[in-house]
Amino acid sequence: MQRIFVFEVSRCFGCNGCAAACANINHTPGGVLWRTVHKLPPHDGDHRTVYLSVSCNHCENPPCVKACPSNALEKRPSDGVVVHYPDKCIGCRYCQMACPYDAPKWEPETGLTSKCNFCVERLDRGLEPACVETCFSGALKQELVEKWSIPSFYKKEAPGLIHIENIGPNTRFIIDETEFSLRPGNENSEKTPTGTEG
Amino acid sequence: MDKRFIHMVPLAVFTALSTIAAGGILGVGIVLSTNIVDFSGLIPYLAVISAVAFCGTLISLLHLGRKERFLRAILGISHSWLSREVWIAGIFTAATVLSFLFSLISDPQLRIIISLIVNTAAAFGVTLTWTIGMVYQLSTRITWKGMVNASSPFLTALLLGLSCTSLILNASGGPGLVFIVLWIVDFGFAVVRSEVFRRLAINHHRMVFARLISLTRWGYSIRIGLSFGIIVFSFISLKWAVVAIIIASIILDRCCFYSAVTDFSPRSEISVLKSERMKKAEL
Repeated sequence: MQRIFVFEVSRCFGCNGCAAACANINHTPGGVLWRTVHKLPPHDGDHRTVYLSVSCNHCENPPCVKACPSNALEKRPSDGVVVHYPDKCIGCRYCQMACPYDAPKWEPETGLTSKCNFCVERLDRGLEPACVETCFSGALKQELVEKWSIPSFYKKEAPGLIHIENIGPNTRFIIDETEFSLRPGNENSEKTPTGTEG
Repeated sequence: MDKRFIHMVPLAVFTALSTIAAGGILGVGIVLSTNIVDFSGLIPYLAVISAVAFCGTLISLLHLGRKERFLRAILGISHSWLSREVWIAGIFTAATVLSFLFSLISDPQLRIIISLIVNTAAAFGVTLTWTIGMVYQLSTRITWKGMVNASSPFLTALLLGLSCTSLILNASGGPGLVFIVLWIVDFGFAVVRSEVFRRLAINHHRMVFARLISLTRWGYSIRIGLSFGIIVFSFISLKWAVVAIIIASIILDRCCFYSAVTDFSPRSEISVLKSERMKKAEL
């Protein structure tokens, strides 16, 4: 079983509530955001504004776990969540170098790295992660799935997040690529965007 | 990754000093095996090499956020190249310092033991240069991964080892065939790495240390120029100059290596897409 984040691009309007909730619940030091919202603005009317909310992708083969020399990172067998243990961390930042998605964050005050841990304490109590619970547009969700049962309309890539096969990030996206011209030079770029639903 | 280069400086210093020490102890080990040079003449070299190795290892601790937990770095040896590097660096430094301390005891019967320790240190030193390269085989750090990058500390340590051997033995004549072949490979790889960086750095959003792009470009150019100096001075038998240029080349190479790191994070990807959209709008 694997916990995945599911992000529906068209529903997100960039309120940053997910990032704020994450920082609030996890008491991250000032300036350290485990979840960040990126904005890709439109231009010349062919593209919509796209917001991308990203955090740790709790990858299939997490490079951070493999890289960590002090065993401070572990992928939980029960749900595939990659957890960071601050009491084991030595602050070498090798996980930061290894992660292609900029998930581990450096905390200068503590001399440690930290990252999204899928709110495992909340999950273990049957609650949703703080970011998911806060998202009132329904853009951000999480699911516990069998890897073979992930719906085919869930995309592995989105503008700003490349899927690297040997790493296997476990964030999925709901994107209608006929509706949005998300990449320059896309053959659908002449189509005008439709209105947002809900 | 953190955009401030300052946290990479201890790593650059450690990898440079370790490579220099590994090359130096390799040279001393080869000389000891020939039994040509008087043993007491090697003590100053052992002193310098052990100081360099010890300082490099000590400086690497400055990189840690929690220095008091440094021993935990040896726990991940089964899966982490960094843990393996820590193990090998520890054994290398200990062997190098031991060889110097033993060499201060003027007992001829210890010569065999010292020779054994020096050769062990040399073996671990060369292995260390290889693990330094393997630590940075990270999937999206394009200017770090690949054998061209991984082999640089190893090749320069071998070049330095052979140059030190020639210097200590005061050998006459030009560079040997092995040296020339190593130099050709090292020079070729330096050119390839410079070119890869130049092509990637066209898009500054791809670089972690975008402000250092010009400096890194100059660094690679000087590094290639130094390579020419190595072979020229080798052929005119200016051994001290060869050793000095190789050491300078190692230091410069490591600085350029760390400053050239690439970034394919969501932040840089979005920046690239924004800039591509803006260029399209201008057209």
